[in-house]
Amino acid sequence: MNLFQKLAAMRRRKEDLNEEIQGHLRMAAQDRVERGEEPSEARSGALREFGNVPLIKDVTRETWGCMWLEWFGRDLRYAIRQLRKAPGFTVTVVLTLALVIGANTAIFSLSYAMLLRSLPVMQADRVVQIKLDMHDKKALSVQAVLSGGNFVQAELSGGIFDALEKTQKVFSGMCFWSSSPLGLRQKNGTSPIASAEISGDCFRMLGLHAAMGRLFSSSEDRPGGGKEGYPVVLSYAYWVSHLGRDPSVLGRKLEFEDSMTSSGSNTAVVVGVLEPDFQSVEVGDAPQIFVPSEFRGNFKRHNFGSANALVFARLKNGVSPQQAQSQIETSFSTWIDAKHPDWWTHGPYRLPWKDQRWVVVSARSGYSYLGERYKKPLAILEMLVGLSLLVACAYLATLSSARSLTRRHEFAVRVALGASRRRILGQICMESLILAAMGAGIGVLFAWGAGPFLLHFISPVDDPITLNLAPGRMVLLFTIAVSGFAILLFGLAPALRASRTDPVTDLKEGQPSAAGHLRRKRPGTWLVPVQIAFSMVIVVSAVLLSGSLVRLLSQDLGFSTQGVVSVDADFTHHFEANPKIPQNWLYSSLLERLNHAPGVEAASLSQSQQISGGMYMYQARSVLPSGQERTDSLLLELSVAPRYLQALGIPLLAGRDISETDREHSPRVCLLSLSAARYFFPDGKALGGVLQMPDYSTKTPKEKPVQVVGIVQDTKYRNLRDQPPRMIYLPYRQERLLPWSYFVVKARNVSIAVASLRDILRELAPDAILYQPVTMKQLVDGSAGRERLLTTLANFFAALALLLMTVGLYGLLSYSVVLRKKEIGIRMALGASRAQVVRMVLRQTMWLVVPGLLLGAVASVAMTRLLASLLYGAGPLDPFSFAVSLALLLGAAALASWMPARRAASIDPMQALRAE
Amino acid sequence: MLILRTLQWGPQHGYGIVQAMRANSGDVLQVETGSLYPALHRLEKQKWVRSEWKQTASNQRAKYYRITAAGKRQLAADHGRWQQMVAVIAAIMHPGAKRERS
Repeated sequence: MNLFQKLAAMRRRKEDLNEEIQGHLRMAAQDRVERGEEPSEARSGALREFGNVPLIKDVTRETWGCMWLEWFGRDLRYAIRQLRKAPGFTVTVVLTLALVIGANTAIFSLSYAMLLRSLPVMQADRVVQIKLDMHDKKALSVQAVLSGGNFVQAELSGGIFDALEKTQKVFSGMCFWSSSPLGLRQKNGTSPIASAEISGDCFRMLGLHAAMGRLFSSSEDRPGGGKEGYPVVLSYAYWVSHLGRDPSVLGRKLEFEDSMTSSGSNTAVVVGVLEPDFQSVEVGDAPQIFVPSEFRGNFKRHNFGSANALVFARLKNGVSPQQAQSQIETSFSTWIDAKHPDWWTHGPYRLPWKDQRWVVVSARSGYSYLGERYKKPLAILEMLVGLSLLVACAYLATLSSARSLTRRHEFAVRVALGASRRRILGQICMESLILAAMGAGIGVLFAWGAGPFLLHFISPVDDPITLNLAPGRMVLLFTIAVSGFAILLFGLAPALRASRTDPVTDLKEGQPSAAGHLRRKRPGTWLVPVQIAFSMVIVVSAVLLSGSLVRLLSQDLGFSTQGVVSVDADFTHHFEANPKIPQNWLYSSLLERLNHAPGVEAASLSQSQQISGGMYMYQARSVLPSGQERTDSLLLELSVAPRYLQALGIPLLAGRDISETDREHSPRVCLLSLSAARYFFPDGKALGGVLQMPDYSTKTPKEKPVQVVGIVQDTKYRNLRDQPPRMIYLPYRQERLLPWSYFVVKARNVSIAVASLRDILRELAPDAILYQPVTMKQLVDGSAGRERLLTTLANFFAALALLLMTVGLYGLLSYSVVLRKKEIGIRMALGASRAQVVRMVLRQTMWLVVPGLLLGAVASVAMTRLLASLLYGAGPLDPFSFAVSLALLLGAAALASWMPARRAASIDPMQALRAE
Repeated sequence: MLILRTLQWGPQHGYGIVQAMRANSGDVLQVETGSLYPALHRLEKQKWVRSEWKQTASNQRAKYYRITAAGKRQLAADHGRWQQMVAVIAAIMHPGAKRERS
């Protein structure tokens, strides 16, 4: 039986009952008439005898057991009427709830998408990821330096994947997954397309299906592909957004730039479209096309050294990740001892295999680099939004307590008329329920809208993150749980208080008169200090984070970001297609043209980007006159063209810049950063000094002397937090430049400069791929994305908490001034001055504020410890930040108490007393 | 129990039950209508009585209650328990009388 049928049946029964009772009364009246009473008297006599008709109806209906439904409906209507009568209250509560529930939902949906959501694949809990636990005691690789020697490496090389696949006995399928853009040739030129090169078994192992056409399998993941050539599968999103769901796309040939082939290009045939739910095994990554792993050629796929793929596997039935781990441990060791007794990792360095360990971990929710990076900020945000929720609930509890006090009379009347305590409780809870439901509804919409805004913060400029933040089932459940929790906090206590109404006293008192009642009547006196304490934690966190962000962004980076743009260009294909063109000639003519383009102040080329770019490490050694040697095996190296310093505004402290005359066969020269100069030449004679560096151009590594011709300012390199590293700049003509580089251009108008760069490239190197230009400012801002996200949200929550605290305190104080009107009147009549009255109100404020602040200070000390690793330039107990927060809170409290104090002082004793 | 007992004489409507009880008790027992209807509906829910709309002798529509088989069993059980209880109470109230009889 559905609800409507139930309701209809109920109505029928109600009518039946009514008729039954009316019949009873008629018969009783008839009997009385027969006994000789007047008809009208008979009727009222029968009624008298019968008793309270509606009450009897109610009690009778209660025996049916469906009363709750009726009550529910009646409470609902009543509650809606009540709320419509108090629009100010309703709007305040709904908006407050919408903000905090929305914020909680938004942050949860972000955490959920990053850390918890299961991959939409077959039996996701049987999917594992295989990683390497690296122990690099000599700290030879970049990652090892950054992590102190021990780190878990998620990326593995193709050669290792092959060996694992060959030797394992515990997986029913393995998957090699390498995401990188491919250059897709289209009518309007070549542009990068997000793609994943995956081994042929991936789709089968994950249990994915095609939305249209088919997926590819192992038989097609071999050099040359299957019968029709290499297959390519499109992502559903790409098919919809770029191809307009065109069904005729199947069988279409796509042409890609590919330097690995002799023709410089490679084609693949579209065989299918992947199912819509699946995005990637890596959270936040969204390949638009999937190609077999052999597509990029033998070296890219099978080499040992370059670790650029994630490896996933499906456990055989009954095998646990631990068992799998120990099995591959043994079998892989046997294999590698036989084949590669030395484990090669970085450049000329070798790492012994026996120190490395396999890690097999559940990949139920995929691999989340983002999650690893954002785990901590998200935990802090969860805590801050949770606190905001508590602050809001405390505020709302005060508000609805006050409201239930003003409705005391109404409740008293209803209790006197026979309403049970449970019914009154039910009605108030119904009001809370409606408010929370409305708040939650708007909150979910708010969270949905906030999704892209949150993603914007965490996306690197050049690599947008694609995460589905639409509220799903889990997120909605979370919202409902949060709302329920909120109802419990803000609705239940006032409801209980209201249901304890004592009709006798409450009906008698029209207005509270005597001061004796005050203590009992003041709503939620303990709530305000708690609210202040929680607000303080939020405010302190926000102030600490804001200070850090400001320091992070305003610090001297060593280079300028004003009007500087960096463009990633890939010449691989161009050089492959035109082997006769010398690289350096092309670069220098490009730069020559670019430097003369309109508006360009300085243009240069570099192997990598300051901030978030790749790191190239070199070994260098200096021999001091004293015979003492100083070596740095991890000297950060940057190959640059002339004018790089000018383009980035890096001050040249001594000597000269690299010039076009520092050519292949001229004496080798370098620039050193100030700290490198001081390290290698502690005697201060760096300029003209000589460094010994390994020469990789010959088969047997030799050393070559390099002369220091200039000393430049230290610059931040990897990120904004680390100390500037020791750096060496080498002229691009003396150092073999890899065929992809960054153009760095300083110009008055960046977009005009980029347009000129495109024109020049089209003319001189039409086959080069140009990536999205990024300004240095964007790079710098983007590298502080984590901090920015945290700070912005923390500030938002702090503002919200302060607002709620101020309004809550204001409401409480104004109410108590109204209650104490007579008392104040008496005091003034007895000679209290206005200043004394103001002091009295302020004293009352302090009684609420000071305990709150003390409690808040203790809680803040505990909370900010968690922030420590995200702060910059100040500790978690930074006295300045605490002082600022304290000032903010006291200011808010002063603001809140100013109006009530004024009102108290302006009370006219005559009027106040006459009203008694 | 009293209601069930009253219904044993045949189907009756609410007002009739009140009248019957009053008559049978010689006007000593005034049945509260306030508890009659809830009781009737409870009995109906427990399936001890059934109800149907019928015409009364004075040509009015009224809801007649009829005792069911389960109701009769319940009445018998209640009756037994009641008699037991009366005996016990009587024994306590009149210890002498009981001794005489035994």
